[in-house]
Amino acid sequence: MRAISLSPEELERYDRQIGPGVLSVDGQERLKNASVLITRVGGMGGPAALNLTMAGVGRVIIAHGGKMISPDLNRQVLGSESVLGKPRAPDFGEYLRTMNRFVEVEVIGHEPDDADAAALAARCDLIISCPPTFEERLRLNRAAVQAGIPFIDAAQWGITGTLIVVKPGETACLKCLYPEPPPFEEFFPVIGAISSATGSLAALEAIKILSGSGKPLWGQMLTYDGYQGNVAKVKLSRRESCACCAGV
Amino acid sequence: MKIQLKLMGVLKDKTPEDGSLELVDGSTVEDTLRALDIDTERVQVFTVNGSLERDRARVLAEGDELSVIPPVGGG
Repeated sequence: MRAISLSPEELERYDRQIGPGVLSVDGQERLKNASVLITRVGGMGGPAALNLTMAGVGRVIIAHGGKMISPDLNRQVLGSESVLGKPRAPDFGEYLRTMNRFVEVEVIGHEPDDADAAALAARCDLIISCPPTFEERLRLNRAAVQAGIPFIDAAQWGITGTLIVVKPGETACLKCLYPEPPPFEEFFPVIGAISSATGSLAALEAIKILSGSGKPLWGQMLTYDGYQGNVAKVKLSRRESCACCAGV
Repeated sequence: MKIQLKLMGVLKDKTPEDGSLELVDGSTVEDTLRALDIDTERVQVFTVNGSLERDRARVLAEGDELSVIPPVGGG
């Protein structure tokens, strides 16, 4: 019989999530052996990073530049008023470490450029993308596709959230959906509850993929229109001429 | 003909009161966007009856449901 790599303390910590219909011990071990990049870690990426940390993903890498400002505090759950005016990433990382001593938290205090994204993708098992700009989202998508690792894009506007789950080489990627970055303002209205909900669903998809539990939303876009209370899933088709994933 | 509309995010205020729109027969996705005064350059993601549609010249039929998902971001 194979030895379990989880310590008794870890098994106690994850007791409520190991069992029928949730995670197996093997699945929990797979989480422990996984590395995930989350960028950025504001309204959506913050809850995603928090949930992955609490769930026991072995290495959580967060990337986010800039200082925390007051309007961030309607949704950025990793921060607090004590972080206002300070670079947020170090404090966010410290908070995550207080939540689970069994997880390694790596902090990057800036948004990855092309080279960073490629290097990070090469040492990660999955990327969760939560930046506000299409330029950054498409950069992370490209890095994930080139590295052949799953990619989850979480996005929001107002009280609407969307999630796209990409399996490179098999499903549509973000570039298939947006061949050209559409006009988009970085500072848009959003309420924290939809950010948290969308970020948490992104974390759930990551946990399913990494642990082997459940059915991931591969190749689909999930939308939650909070204004109307409508949930929809749309199957995305690959674009044969996609500049990112064609030929992968 | 009458179609059903689901306009999300920033477009929600353009949704007619009963969620439907009268169009002349043969109207396309592009025609519908123009009828709703939606910036067609800005919006790239549509579904018709729950399936992704990339062809804005697609002719809609009575009872079709058109969803328009404008760009959304993170942060």
